[in-house]
Amino acid sequence: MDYSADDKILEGPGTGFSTKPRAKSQNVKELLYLNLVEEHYQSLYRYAFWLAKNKAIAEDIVQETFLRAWRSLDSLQSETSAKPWLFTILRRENYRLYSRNRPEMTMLDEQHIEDSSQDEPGDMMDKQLLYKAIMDLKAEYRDPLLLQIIGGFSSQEIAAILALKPSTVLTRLFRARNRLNEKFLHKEAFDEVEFAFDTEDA
Amino acid sequence: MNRKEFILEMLTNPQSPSSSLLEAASNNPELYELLKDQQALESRIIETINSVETPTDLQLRLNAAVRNETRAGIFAASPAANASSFLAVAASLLIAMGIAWGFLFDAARLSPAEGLLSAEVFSHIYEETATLTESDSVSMALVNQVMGAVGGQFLETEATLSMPFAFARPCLISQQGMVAHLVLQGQRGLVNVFVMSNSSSGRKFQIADDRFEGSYTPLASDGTALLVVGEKGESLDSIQALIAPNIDWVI
Repeated sequence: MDYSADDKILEGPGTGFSTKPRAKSQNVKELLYLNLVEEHYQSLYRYAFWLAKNKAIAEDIVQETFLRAWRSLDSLQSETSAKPWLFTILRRENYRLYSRNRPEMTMLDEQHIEDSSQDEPGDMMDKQLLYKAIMDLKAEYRDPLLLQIIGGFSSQEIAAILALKPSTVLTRLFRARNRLNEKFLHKEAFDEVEFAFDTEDA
Repeated sequence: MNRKEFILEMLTNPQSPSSSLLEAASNNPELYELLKDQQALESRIIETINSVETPTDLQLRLNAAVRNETRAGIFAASPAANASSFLAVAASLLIAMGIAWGFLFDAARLSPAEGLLSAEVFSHIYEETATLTESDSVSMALVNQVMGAVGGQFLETEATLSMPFAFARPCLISQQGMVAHLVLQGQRGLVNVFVMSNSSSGRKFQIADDRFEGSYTPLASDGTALLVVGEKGESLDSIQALIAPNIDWVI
């Protein structure tokens, strides 16, 4: 959506009601906001849920995230930068509201895996095991994996969001999948490559 | 690409393998099997991570929270706004009292609940649409997003796609809960349409003030209703006839 174009429409000579410049820009801002919510609220909620491991907290975090985004919407330069911007706000809100005062939760309060009607019982059990395995990953490994899968971010973008070096992001993505491979592919982990990472990190 | 490079890329970005990774897999059966297994697991990981259910009303609450914030901000920002909001509330109360008073003497007109709805709707129209112009427009996608607030959406017919919508927003009307507030071009100016799914009145009635007149029509006995408000003399029936049959209720 071209918001600058919308702004021109709103600033055009009206033949009906009187117009107020402040209210017009407010209207454009609200359209932008509605569009951001429409486009990103589901992925932000999913990410918040995996961070918080709790439905109510995830909802709180997403609501605070969008409220913060609304208040600083004027600082958003373009729609293309909206997604990493929102994820960064969400991480900050999670930390501000919950993480710093709460140890890492290990138990899930509710189950939130969608039970697709097409799932066979065995598939559902497999999904539950995978769900738990992902939750059990160290946060430092799980986080880049979630950003890559939920947000669709590149390793460079993940590095910017997490304030890490791109090479560190690659290491953590590798380790996250390597841990899951050990459990679900029933193969030996690629320890020789992981060792090479350790050497490079050092 | 050697084995170490292959495994490194496969585990850091299995979703979009590079051409060199694919070439290495095609030339080496062991690497091919590794990639096949990894991509199968990746599909399950993606499915699991994305299978977290999103609360159905979260989007509405996110939109409503900002509307409340906007109103609070505007009211807190300027004494003039405070005065005008006070006047708007006072006017609403006067209209409501007048209608309720009229009701005492003319039971055939509006019930107290209908009178209050009328007062709130007129107050809402003046407040929400004061800055709209005839050149404003919104997409059908946004209109249907807003319609989702009341569990409906417009069928994609030639008639609906040509409707000149200027405004669409989910609004809270106290007695009705969430309603879809749409504005479109009429023959005499902008026409406000309130689509309701939780309406309290089950009968057709007319409302009016000095400038506008409106027609409230229940669509079914399940609480769905339309309130169409336009400038005096506007052909409200034709707009209602255009809108009502083109709503697909999915509640």
